[in-house]
Amino acid sequence: MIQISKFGGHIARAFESVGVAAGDIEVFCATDLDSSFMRADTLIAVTAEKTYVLEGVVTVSGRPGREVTKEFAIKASHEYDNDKIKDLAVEELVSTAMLTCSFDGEPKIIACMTKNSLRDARIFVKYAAGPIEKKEVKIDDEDFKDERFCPKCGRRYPDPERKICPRCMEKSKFYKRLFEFSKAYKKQMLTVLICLAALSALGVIAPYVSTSFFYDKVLTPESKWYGQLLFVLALVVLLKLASLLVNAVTGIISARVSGKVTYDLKKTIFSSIERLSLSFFTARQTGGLMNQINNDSNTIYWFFCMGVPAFLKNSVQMIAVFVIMFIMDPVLAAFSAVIIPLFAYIVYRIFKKMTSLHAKTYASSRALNSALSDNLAGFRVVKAFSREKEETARFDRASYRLARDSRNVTFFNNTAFPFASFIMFLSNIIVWGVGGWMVITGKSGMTYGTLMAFLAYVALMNEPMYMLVDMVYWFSDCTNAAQRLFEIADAEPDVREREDPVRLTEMKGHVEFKDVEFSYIKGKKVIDGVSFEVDAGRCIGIVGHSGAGKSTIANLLMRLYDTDAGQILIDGVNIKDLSFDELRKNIGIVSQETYLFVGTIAENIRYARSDATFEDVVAAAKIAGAHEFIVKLPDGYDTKIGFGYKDLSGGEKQRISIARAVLLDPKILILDEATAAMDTQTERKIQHALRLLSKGRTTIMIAHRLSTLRDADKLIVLENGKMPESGTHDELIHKKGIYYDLYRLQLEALKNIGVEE
Amino acid sequence: MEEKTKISEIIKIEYLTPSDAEFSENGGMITMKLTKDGETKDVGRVFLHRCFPHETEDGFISVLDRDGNELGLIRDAGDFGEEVKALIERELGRRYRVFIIKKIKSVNEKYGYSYWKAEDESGELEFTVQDTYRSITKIDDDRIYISDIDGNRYEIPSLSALDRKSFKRIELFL
Repeated sequence: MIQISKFGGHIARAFESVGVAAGDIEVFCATDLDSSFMRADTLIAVTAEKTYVLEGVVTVSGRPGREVTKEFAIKASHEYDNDKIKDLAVEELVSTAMLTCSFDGEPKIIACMTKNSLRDARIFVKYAAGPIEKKEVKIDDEDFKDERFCPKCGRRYPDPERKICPRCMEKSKFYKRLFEFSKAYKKQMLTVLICLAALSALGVIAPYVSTSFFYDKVLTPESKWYGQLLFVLALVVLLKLASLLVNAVTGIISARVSGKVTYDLKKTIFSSIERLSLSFFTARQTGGLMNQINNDSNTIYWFFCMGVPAFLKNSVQMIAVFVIMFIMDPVLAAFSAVIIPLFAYIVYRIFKKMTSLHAKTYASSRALNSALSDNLAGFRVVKAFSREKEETARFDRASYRLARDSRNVTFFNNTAFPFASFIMFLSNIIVWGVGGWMVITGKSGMTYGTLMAFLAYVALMNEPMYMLVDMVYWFSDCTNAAQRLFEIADAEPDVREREDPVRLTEMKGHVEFKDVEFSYIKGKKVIDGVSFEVDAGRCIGIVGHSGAGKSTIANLLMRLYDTDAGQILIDGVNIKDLSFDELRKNIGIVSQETYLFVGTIAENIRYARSDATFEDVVAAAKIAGAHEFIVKLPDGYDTKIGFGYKDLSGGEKQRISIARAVLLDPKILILDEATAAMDTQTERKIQHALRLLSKGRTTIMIAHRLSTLRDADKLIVLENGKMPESGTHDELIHKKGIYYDLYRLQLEALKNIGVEE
Repeated sequence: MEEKTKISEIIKIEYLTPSDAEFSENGGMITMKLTKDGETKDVGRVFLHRCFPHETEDGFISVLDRDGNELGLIRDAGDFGEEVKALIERELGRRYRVFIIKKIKSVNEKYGYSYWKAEDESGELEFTVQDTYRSITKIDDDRIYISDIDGNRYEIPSLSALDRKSFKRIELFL
């Protein structure tokens, strides 16, 4: 049996109750909705003759943790003769999906599901074809390697791309690694730590000198220090100076190391990211990644260079203070040890509310910013449609929200802070009261000086207490950031270079696709059994509707993704055996998405070959038809472009990207809708140049406009990932198939607007 | 001066009416016979898409054939009589089926994901959301939907109708 979903004893019993022996089931799958789209369990089993569908619920009896028995309570059952089932398919709806077929000529819903079961259902369709269509289906182990579940606890990973189970993550291993990571900065951390320890030592001594020692020794006639006023003053000043000095040194050291640590961290993250395959990026939002690089490195840096030392310092200070307090007066110390944390906890609860208020303010300020930037960016449109009033109102709403939330924060600050400090003050008052009572009654030898010192120490406890509470948040932020960092560092690129790649002495440019299959999402084939061959130096055109898989062919040839099945050969060598460097140096692409980096036009053209001469750059720009507009710019080739600089039109950007590809001088040139964003006149000019360029180079042209492809030596037509037609223009016109229809339609459209091709 | 042409004259929206479109049920799905230029054609199964799913439920429904070509628009499902309207509504109900959240029991954020425990009409459900802020879509000030990592949608038809605790749990992400 091919088990796509888990098949247990209760399921076997359920099928047996409708007369299906488990041994007869060839393919089994379960979904999570019933036919009325309510949450339930639906079981689908295909035997050699029939397909059975059971709808119901799994009931669990027995005590959890002990032996439990599962039963499947059948609510409805259906059976279908396999020979009447045709076109078994998964139809995706907005938030759910259906398994449908044509049964005896009529459309039929076999089962419904949420998108959680989508993957299983797609795999089911593949394997059910075995018994239903009586054909052999090769078993692909990948289909059954369900990596969506944590192997330890069986729960689903939140993200199948990130195989991290938050429940089972090995915490100790993680912390160990975090510690290993911080080892690189141990010198810096140690220095900061020593400074902080000195600071806290000085901080702990100071109150003793200025209170207990001063009152009980210097001002008390019985003491041997009596009257040594100058000495005590000098000591106090000295202590203050020493602590200022250590503070300054700590500041300088931290400032010096901070730059280096953040720099290193960002470099680590960025180089890890650059190493990964394109699929890693498509699975994530770029914005998230940018955040990741910037925020995570800051968070980790702060944690290690500030958080950890501060944590240690405060812990040491707290322990030291407590020890001193205990030595001075154990009873009062024990009393403070209970009362201070208690009050600190109350204050902490108040501040938790603060965090939520701040988060709200942050959200509304983000909303206001986005409203503002949206509006300013679209200012022309706002003016053109005279929507100033509405836009002002929109802005006003967001602005009001921010004002309201900020007001709440201020209000809270002004009430909660005094209240919180009052509570902390109360704890002091209690110590004061108890201590005062002890001085008055003379119990346990408490003196006035000791009490003053005591109170100074109680005050010293407040700060570390807050700090330790904050540390909890800080720590969880850091673990998140570090987790993401490790994840990127650990991520394996899907497309990997062979260890000993084949080196071609000189690439000729013969390209062959052999039964290539590819899907971005499992079960949804974008390229399905495509085979074609282009001789070196020849030109092939790829035709098809948008979404037919044309650009995917280019992505596969560049090896931005690897094929699921079949082979792609260049000069008879599988591209998986070629080195990335050789592959990409020999393939130039001009695609519909042009991206130019921030920099000068010359730099952008030189991106292909940094050692290109002025002459090369100008020649490449001339071929691409970019030279004419570049020289008209005041700064010529040295014009800064990209984010925040000169804004070029779509066509101009396209021409620069063509120049970039031309400069690479590749053996294989891919033109993916290269001239789509240009006006007809410019396109003609460039087409001519590109035609010259493609001489002697293998060219793969992808275009919407069929006229662009007329000169191709061969055309292939793609439709829904398949390749139903191929041949020369004349052959395809003769065939009167898809190409003929497309050609006729475009010709008519052109005639209608008075253009004769 | 020549009178300007109205946009409705430039392009004619083809509305399906009971006289040219006959909907019926076949195998639990909706099928249609279309009469055009006096000729009636059985187009078989049709697919209904709301043009404005958040603004109008029974109006402006695009009727597509198996290949995704639009056969026409239904201006108002009520035009076709109660029986067909019910059929259309059932079909749309399937396509736009989302889980309606009645209660949010907990939201835990961990490692960049949030884990939700909620209640819908048929009991408790759990789901995971990536990048929580972006995964919550506001339909209007009071109505939102949440998209989970698998692409399932969970709707909250009225935030103000949520109980206080549930609202507090989602408030920070809005």
